[in-house]
Amino acid sequence: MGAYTGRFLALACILIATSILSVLFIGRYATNPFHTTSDEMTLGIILRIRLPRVLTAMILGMALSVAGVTMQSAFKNPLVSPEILGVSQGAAFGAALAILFLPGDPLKMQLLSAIFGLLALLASYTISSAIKYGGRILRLVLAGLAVSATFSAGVGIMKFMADPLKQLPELTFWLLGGLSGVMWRNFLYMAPLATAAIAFLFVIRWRINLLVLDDDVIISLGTDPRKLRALVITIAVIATAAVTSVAGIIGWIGLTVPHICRKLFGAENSRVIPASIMLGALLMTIFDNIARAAAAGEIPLGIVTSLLGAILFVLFLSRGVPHE
Amino acid sequence: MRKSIIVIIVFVLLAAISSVAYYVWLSSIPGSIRSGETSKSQETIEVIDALGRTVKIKMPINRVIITGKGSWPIMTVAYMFPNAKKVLYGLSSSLNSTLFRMIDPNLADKIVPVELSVEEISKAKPDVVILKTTMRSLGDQLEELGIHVVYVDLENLESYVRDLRVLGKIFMDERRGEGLARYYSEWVNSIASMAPPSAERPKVLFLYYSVKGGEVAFNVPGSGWLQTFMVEVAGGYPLSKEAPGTGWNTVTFEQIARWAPNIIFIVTYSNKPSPSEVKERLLRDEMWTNIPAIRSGRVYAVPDDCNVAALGSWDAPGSRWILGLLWMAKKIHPSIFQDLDIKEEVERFYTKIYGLSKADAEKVIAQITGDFP
Amino acid sequence: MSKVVIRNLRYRYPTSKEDVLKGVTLKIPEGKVTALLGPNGSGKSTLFKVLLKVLGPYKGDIYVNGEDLKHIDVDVLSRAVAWVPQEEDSLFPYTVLDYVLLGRTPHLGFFNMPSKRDEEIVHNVLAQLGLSSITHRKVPTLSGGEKKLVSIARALAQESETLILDEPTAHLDIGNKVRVLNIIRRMGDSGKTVIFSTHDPNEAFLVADNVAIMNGGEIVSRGPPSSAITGELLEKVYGVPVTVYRVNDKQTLVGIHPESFKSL
Repeated sequence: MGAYTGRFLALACILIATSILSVLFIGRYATNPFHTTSDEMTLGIILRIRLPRVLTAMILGMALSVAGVTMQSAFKNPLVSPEILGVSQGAAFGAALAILFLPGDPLKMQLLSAIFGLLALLASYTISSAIKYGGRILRLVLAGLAVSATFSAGVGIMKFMADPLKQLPELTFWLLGGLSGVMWRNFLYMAPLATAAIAFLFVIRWRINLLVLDDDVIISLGTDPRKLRALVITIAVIATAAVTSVAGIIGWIGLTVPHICRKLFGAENSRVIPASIMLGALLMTIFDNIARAAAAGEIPLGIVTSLLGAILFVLFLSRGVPHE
Repeated sequence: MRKSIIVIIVFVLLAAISSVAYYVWLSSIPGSIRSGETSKSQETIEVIDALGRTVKIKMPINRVIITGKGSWPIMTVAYMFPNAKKVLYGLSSSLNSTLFRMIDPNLADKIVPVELSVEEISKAKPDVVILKTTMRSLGDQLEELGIHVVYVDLENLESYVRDLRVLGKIFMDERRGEGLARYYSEWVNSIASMAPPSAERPKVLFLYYSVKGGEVAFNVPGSGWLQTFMVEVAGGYPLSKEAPGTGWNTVTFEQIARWAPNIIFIVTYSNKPSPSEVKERLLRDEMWTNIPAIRSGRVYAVPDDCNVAALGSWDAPGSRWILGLLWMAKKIHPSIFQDLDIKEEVERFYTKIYGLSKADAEKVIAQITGDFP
Repeated sequence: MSKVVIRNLRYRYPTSKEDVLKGVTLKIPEGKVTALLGPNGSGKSTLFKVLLKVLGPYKGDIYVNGEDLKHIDVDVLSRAVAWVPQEEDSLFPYTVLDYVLLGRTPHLGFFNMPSKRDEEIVHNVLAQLGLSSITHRKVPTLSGGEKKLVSIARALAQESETLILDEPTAHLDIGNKVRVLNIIRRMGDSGKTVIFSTHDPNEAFLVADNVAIMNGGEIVSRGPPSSAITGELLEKVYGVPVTVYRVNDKQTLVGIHPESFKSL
C-alpha cells in the first residue's frame, strides 16, 4: 500500500482543491468570495446555487464509480456498469411517470424515480430465479436485459404520450442527464441514502474482492457468495438509484472510473474503491463545471460526461507500455 | 490507514459544509438576501400569477427577463405593451423576425443565443423574471437568490385574460392589460355568438402535417387544445375532439377518410414543406380526391406572419391566435361573417396593439404566408 | 484418529435422476496424506464439493472433527478445511500477494480488513512455497505451474488443519508436478491432514500414506498404496491392462507393458 500512498494523497488534494474552487469561483456569475458583503448576490450564488450543486455532482460521481467497481466485482466482469440490472431505465420510467402525471413537483419525481430504480432490481432478481438457463450470473444479466428493455419501452410510451410542448422537453432533458435545477432540498433528499450506501461499500471494500473468485472457492473461504453478491448489488443499486433520481441518466462514469483506477492503483478493491470514490467525485465536479459554466446556457451533463469521458478514457489507456 | 483518514476528513468536511449551508437556507427568506440598500421607494406591485402565488415586486421595474421553454407566447404578448420595449431582456432568438424587428428596432440587443442559466440570469440583474408555468425548477432557484419570478400560462382564453392583467401590472400599464383582456374575450364571444348551432356546422379537420425523417405523419390536436377551441368558436365541428390523448394525436389516412372532413386547415410548423405546399400536394393527391374538403377545394393553409418554424403560425398560442380565429371563422362561414374584413382587423391589430405605423403594418401583411386573407 | 468420517454418502445433482455418489464410506486419518484415486467421472470432485458444503443436501453421514457436517457453518468449516480447486479463472489482474491474502478471509470479520499479521502470514506461506520472488506479479500473467502454486498458497494461508486438493497435478509438466507433490508430502509431514485426488496411481505411491480408489460413485478399495492398489483392480477400474511394477523396496511404478499395449 505504501507504493500508492503518494498517488492517493495527490488525488485527494486535487479533489479538495477542485471542489473548493468550483464552489467559490467557477460559474457564469463572476463571484469574488472576498466581496460577499459588497455584492449580495455572491453569497446567494455560492451558498444556494453552487454549493448544493457541486456537492451533488461529487456524490453523483462517487456513487456511480463505487457502484461500478462493486458491480464489476459482483458480476466478475470488468465490462459491467451500474446500469446492468435496469436501474437507469427503471429510474427513467419513474421520472417519466412523474413528469406526465405529477407535474411540477421535483421532489415527487425524485422519489418515484428512485422507487422504480429499485423496483428494476427487484424485478431482475425475481425474473432471474425464473430463468432455467445458465449459471446464476448469466441469469441475472439476462434478467437485467429484459427489465431494462421493458422499462425502456415504457419510457418510449411515455414519450409518445407526452405533450410535445410542455412535457416532452422536460423528459428529454432528464434523460440526457443534468443537475440544472439542483438546490438544497434535492441534495438533502438524495444525500443521506447515497452517502450511506457509498460508505457501506467503502467499509466492506476488501470483502467485495471475494466475489471475483469462483463461487465454489468463496464458499470454501466461509462466505455465501449469493448472499454477499445480493447484498453488494442491492447497496450499489440503491446508490445508483438515489443519484439517478436527481441527475437523470449519466453513463460512462460507472464503467470507466474503475478501469482508470485499476490501472493507477492495481486491481485490488481496497485501493480501487477509495480511489474510485475520489476520482469519480473529481471528474464529475469538473464535468458539471463545464456543463454549467462553459456556455451561457446549460449543456446536458450526460452529454459532457459521455463525450469527455470517452476522450479521457482513450487518452488514458493509450499511454504507457502495453502489458497484460 | 492515512488514506482512510483523508477520506473520513473529506466526508466530515462535506457533512459540515452541508449542515452550515442548510442552516443558512433554513434561516433565510428569499429576497431578504438583498440586504444592501433599503429601497428608497417602498412602492411595490402585487400580482397573483398563473400558479396562484402572490408575488410582490419592488418598483421601479427596469429589467424584465423572459426565458426558458415556452417563452415564445410570453414574448409575443409582452410586446403588446409599449413599455416592454424599454425593459425586456434575455429573449430567445426565435423572436428575431420581420414583425418583431419592426415592433422593436432594438430587438437585437435584447436577444441571447441560448436559454440562460441561473447564474447568467442573475448576472443580468433582472427585477422580475417571467416564466412559463412548467419552468418551476429554474424559477425556484431564482427565488432562492431573491429574484422575483412570475409564472404565466397563456394556453387558452382563460389564461390569456388572467395573464394579460398580470403582465399589464408588470409593464406598468394596468389599463392596457385590462383592455387587451377584453379585446380577446370580446372577440371570442362575438364570433361564438354568431356561429350556427351544431347541426349546421361543417366538419373541420385541423391537420398538422409533419415530415420526420422522410416519413409523413398526420397529427390532430387533442380535445383541450387551443386549435380545437378555435374551430369550435369559429362555428366548425372539430373532428379531432374525438381523438384521445393530450398531445398531438397521430392518425392514419383511413381515419381521415372516415371522418370525411368538409374543411381542412393545414399547419406544418416548418418551411419544408410549408402549409401552402402541403395544400397543393393534398389537392393533387389521388388518395385524397374523394375527401369532401378536397372536392370542394376548401383546404386552407393557416397564415403565418413570422416565418419562424412553429412560432408565427396563427394557431400557436402566441398573441395572434385571435387573428387566426377571425380568419378561421370567415373561412368556415363566409356568408355569416361576410362583413368581417380580415385584412382590416389584422391591420388594426398591428397598428393599435403593436404600435406599428400603417406602412410597417402593410409590410408585415405583405409577407404573411398561407391562405391570407 | 479420523479427521473425516464418511458413512454411506449418497448425493445426486438437482437436475439428474441418478445418484453420483452411491453410498461412499470412507475414513480420512488425521495428520496423514490420503490420495483419492479414480477415473474421470468417478465422483471425486463431487465428493470434495459435498465435503466443503459447496454441494448439498446429501444423504448419509459426514463427520468432520467428530461433528456432523450438517450442523457446521461454512464459516466455521473454512477455518478447519481449505480447498485448492482444480481450475480457477483469473480475470482481474490481482497481485499474488493480494490474491493469497484472500485466503485470510475465514479469520476476518465482515467489516475487517487484513492486518499486518495477516500479511506476515501470507509472506511466510509464499516463502515456504518458494514464491517470494513473484509476490508482486499479476496472477493472470503467471504460468500454469505458478498459478497452481499460488492457489495452494491461498489455501495454506487459511491456516486450516485439513487441506483438500482437487487434481492438483492436472495440466502440469513433470517439474511442476513434482513440486506440488513435494508440497503435499511436506504438509503431511508437518501434521496437516491432506486429501488429494488424482487419476495417476504413481502419485499415490509416491506421496500418499493412504489410498482410496473410487469408481462409479463408490469406494472399491482402501488402505495403504501397497495393498490397496493392485494391477487387477486398476485394470477393472480403468479398463486397460496396467501392471504394478515393484522396482525396489522403496519405489513402485504403475504402467502398461509394451506387449499389452500393442495387443490392444
